[in-house]
Amino acid sequence: MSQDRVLEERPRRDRMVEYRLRQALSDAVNTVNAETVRPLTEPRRPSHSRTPWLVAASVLMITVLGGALHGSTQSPDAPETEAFMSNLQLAGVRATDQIAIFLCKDDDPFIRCRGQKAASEVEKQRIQHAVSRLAGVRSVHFEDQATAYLNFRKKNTGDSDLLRAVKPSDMPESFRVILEPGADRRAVPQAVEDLPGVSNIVDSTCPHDWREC
Amino acid sequence: METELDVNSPRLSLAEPLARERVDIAALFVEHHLGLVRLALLMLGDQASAEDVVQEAFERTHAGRRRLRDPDRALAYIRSAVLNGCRSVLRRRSTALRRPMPYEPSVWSAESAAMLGEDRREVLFALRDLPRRQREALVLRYYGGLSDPEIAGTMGISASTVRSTVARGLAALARELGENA
Repeated sequence: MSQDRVLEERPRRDRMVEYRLRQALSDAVNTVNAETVRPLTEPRRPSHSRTPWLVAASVLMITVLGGALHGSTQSPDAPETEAFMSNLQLAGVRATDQIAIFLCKDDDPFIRCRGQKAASEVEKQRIQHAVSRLAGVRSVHFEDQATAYLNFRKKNTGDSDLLRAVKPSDMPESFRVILEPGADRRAVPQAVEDLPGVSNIVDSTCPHDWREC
Repeated sequence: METELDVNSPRLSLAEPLARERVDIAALFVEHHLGLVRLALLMLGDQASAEDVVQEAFERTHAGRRRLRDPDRALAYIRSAVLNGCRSVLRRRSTALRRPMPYEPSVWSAESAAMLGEDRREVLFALRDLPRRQREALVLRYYGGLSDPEIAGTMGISASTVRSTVARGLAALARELGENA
């Protein structure tokens, strides 16, 4: 409409730039699609504070990948590894190497929990059993809402708005799995992902998506 | 292309929540999730950080959802939340590196080289180097397809500032890309 008329009057240069920009943005966003995007997870998870180290970790990953894939073609100003390592420490990268299996609560917005009540005792037993019989699992322990809430408070001491808003009943229960070194990390999520009562699974070593582990 | 993207249809998607008393922010987030992640991707350059920012914004707005009275503003509100999240990630990245680092990551660099043609990458690199406001305004306009007032609402600036910012951004891109003919 009126915008088209404005477009007509614009110099050819602008129209070319607009065209190229639209194409570039459209191609770029199409690298993310509904199948590959990590679904939204229920608000107020204990792992809420993972962001800072996620950022650092992704920056590191990018550098590593960038370096590896770029090879000799181009590598403009890759920051030095040392600086990255100290940044990672500053950002509080957790050494704890565990897999968290989060459980459904009542009215949980997770896709897997839709139309279900909170994970039942029987479901929890099945999940725990499915994990503990796997090779390479050192320990499986259950984290209840109260513990999750305490951990959450500890990690978010600076965020009073957040702490006011969150109640213990908002926290999901979870199983925390610790593996022996060298164990197959993907075996754990694979064993439980389709079990009823599981809302989602986060591996602390590849928190974006355990499938990347 | 853009027409199928989520952030494109504010009125449509708000029609239903309007009928209700309160806006269901969680539902709005779920409905617009892909579009929001894509928006964050264009700001941050890598999918993982983009997903994280949207997740965080989701959690925050969820906590404050009772304060949101005006359904018409809901979508602008969640877009702003995502945009703000992106700004803090970029800030954190540059403090962590103790030098300005607008954004490096995957969409603009290595992995995607095969996926995105040379021309696309050239444009994205040029976009990356623009001042923050211009970059945001251009992305909201040319990816999101938002109008001046919608961009203004999202960025928290006036519509006239949006117009001049978009114009300056385009001009700068054109210079950078050598569209001088």
